[in-house]
Amino acid sequence: MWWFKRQPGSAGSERPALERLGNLESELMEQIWLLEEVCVRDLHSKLAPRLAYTTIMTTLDRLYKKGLLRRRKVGKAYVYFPALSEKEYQGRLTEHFIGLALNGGKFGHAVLSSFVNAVTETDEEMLDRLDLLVKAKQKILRRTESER
Amino acid sequence: MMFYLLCAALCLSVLFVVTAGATALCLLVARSLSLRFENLKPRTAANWLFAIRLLPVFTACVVAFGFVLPAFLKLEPRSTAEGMSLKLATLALAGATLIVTVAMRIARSLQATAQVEGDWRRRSHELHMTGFSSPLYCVEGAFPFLAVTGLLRPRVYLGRPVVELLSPAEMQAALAHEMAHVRSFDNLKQLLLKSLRWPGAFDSLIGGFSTWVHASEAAADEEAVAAGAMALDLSSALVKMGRIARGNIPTPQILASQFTPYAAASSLPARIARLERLLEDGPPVVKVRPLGNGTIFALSLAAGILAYAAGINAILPWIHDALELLVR
Repeated sequence: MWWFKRQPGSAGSERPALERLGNLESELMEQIWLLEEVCVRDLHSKLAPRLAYTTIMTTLDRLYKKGLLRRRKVGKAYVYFPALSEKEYQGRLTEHFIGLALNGGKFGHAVLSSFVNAVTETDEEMLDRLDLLVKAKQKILRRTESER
Repeated sequence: MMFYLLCAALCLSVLFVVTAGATALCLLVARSLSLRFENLKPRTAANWLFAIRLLPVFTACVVAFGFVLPAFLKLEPRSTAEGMSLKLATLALAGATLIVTVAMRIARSLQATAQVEGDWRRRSHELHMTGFSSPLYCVEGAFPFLAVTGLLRPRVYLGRPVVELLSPAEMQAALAHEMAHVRSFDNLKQLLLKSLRWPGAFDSLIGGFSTWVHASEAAADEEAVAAGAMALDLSSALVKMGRIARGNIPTPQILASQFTPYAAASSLPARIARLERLLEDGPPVVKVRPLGNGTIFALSLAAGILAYAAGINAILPWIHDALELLVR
């Protein structure tokens, strides 16, 4: 699950950070998914006076650094657009949390991954053994049924 | 004010002292029994491991709140001039730390579980399966898993690939395995075991949490087969799920029993060995006992309460005298 953690300095790269967004970040992402392309001024005109221009600018920059937004420069301003659709984001977020739940994630410790790799290799052999036994039993069962 | 402060300090001190003493005793007993766990039936082994873990804290709570508290409230004069000794203050602090640690672990586990479950729920839809009464959800996405959450009211979550991968018979067998966990309140036990784990290396002295996981997983397989699931279907489901879940690392924090629990030390070897035996020997023989576990527990509890009510007044003065050792 390496791709859930972004390396610093890789802003705008392919894999976005799949972390739970704050309320403001979620609100802005929803607006951007709706409008598809926005600059800070567009959002400010919709959300002022509740949100300051600088707040929106900082939050968009943070979302860009998290890899959830992409941007291009138009004149002096940046135009932001989503790096992935809302559906894709929700999908990856779910898998991220399933991964957290079943695979450690923020609860896991780096030591575990190598240890489990070793264990799963052993498990694989045992699973093969069980599989052989299951197939043999199924064969006997089928033969018995066909004889009836 | 000093009266209540002393009372709280005494209870906390006794809680700590009894927990530490009983833990050391349990450790000694468990060490001498540990080699025999693998010879026991999986459910018996799991229950013993659970009891050994819970006994120190249970005993400490009974002593502190069932004996020390009433002895102090009844026999200590309210206008006490006694101060708090350094010994008592230190032990009370240790007791308070113990309670806070356990409470924080419980909160962390519940929070983590709620967070994960909330996210599963958002991307899931309910499934209806004939003969299956617990809420069952299919979670969209590519992650293969089958898990049950809920301490008392179970909720079953299935990853979409699992729904597509398992045949109806295999699915029934896998769900029967999970329902065996539900009937044994394994998630609740898991929460208690995680919250009451012993510090550092002590925890692994009798195999730690993972030993209980191995035993309860093997027990759930056995109980699923005893409840009517075919060992063949269960084994086949385990092979399929084990293979697609390969490479995944489990978390001990979330309060969900998983069908393929890759704990730090995997339970699969123990389960596979058990399933091989079930495949060869057939379903386990279920002994019908005149009294169920619940009845035995209720009767023991009632007997304990009666004995407590009958003898408490006679022993309170002794306890009060013994407490002087802690106060001074």
